[in-house]
Amino acid sequence: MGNDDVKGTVGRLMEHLFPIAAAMGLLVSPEGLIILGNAAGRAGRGLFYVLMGAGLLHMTTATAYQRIYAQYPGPIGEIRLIGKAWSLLPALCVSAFARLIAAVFASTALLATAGYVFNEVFLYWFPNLGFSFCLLGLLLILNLSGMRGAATGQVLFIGLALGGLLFLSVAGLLEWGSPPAPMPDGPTPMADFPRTALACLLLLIGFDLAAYAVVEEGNPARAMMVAVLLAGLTFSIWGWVSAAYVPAERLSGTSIPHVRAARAVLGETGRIWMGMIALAGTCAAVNALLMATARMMAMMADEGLLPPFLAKGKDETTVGVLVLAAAVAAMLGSGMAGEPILEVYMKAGLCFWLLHYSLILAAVFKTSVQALPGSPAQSGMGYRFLLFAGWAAMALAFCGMFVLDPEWKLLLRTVVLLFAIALLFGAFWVSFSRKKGWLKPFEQALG
Amino acid sequence: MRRMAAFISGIAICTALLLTAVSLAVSADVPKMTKDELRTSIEKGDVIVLDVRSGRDWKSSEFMIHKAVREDPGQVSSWAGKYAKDKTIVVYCA
Repeated sequence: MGNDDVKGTVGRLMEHLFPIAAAMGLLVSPEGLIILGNAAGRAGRGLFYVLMGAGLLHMTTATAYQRIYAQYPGPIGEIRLIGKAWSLLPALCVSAFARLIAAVFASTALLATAGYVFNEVFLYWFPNLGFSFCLLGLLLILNLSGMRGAATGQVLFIGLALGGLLFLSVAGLLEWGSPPAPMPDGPTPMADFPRTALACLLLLIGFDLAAYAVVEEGNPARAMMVAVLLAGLTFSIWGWVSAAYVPAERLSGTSIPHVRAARAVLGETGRIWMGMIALAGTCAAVNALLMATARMMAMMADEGLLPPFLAKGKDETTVGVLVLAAAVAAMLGSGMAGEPILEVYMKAGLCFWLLHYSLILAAVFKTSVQALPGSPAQSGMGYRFLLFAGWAAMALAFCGMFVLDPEWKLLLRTVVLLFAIALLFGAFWVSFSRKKGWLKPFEQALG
Repeated sequence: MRRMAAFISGIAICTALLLTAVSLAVSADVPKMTKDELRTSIEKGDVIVLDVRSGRDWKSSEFMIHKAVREDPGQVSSWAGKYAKDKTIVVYCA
């Protein structure tokens, strides 16, 4: 096999792996492991069934994406469909904004946590904030080096995170370290089902970032489905192991369930492994957010949906990546990591993302029911029912974010404020862009 | 464009390092204790150690100093009166 053959094989492999790795970016983040651990403490063995249900609902959304990209190829096909089904404003204020909030606030939180992990697990004398900035710098350089750098890094980060998690899971199942704690007799009661169900839905949010990891005419839906399946299986196993090794009350109440479980499975070695998984997961999540959000902004700017400067430069994502990284750096530098409001912003981002999925499902349902000219092919009643069920679940989950949160008033105020900002900007920009004629090609293509 | 991007990244990194140096210099006025001094004081029972970490600083950490009491840094007026003024109070955060 010559060098060119090897390069070709590796290139084709990357072309298939990168969208899956991008789809898994947020899923294997340390935040996901915390949500999973707490849910495992509440649900015990029942977690698998709830995860399966959540996975099926998200698979429905992934199949909706399959129909979107069959009709509107290209990464911003979702924006086109929402624009076609209703108007550009929901696409701007909800779908795009959800990724933007996550890219800034979730990245800040993840990098801050990574700093602590590195400081407490690996090098106690290295300043935690300094490490957060180093990690941000590394990811910035990866993204500025072009799609190839970001893609290679993403596949590597996901490989490390997923591989590490599977290793710890196998170690737990085969009892390589200490044996698990004795399980209580009888079925494990599933305490607080609504909270567990919401947690399982939130665990799998972010698979749609694969949309921005494909070439122009690609269909990322298969990568999304593979990611949801892989993540669901991995979480089921790790969740089971966590519940077997750590007492339920401790697992559900701690802010670091994944570390406690890893330590219970393999002692100090397990703790170091989990440190590595957390750092790899952070890199995967932040890299995916930077790459996907910058690409989304650039492509929307190309169509007149966002200010044109966001698509400037030889590599059109350069400005977007720099703007996002600067925002995250400003958050870190201003001490946002120590502010409780950061958690509220992150929850607000999740609310917007749930709304985004609702919009997608409703848009596909609407266009399939109405058979709008140029819409995806008519769907059977069974599929329409699935779409409706998916939409209802996302809507319920959105309400659940407030109902189940003790600080729901603060969360509601934050969501309303962020939505108002997005709406003001969106309304102004759409009007301005229309006057300039920048939106004409996009709107004409919608028909 | 790439050169500009690399230049901006360099400026950002230098700014971060400068800010770190400034914060270290500013905090030099606050009396400090080494970890060995603190350990000895805790063993003697001479100090009250308050953990005032908040947000991610608290959530992400595995550890807490032995015998430290957790207090909310945003509610100082509610707990400041609880502690004897004749004792040394050590406050730690991130």
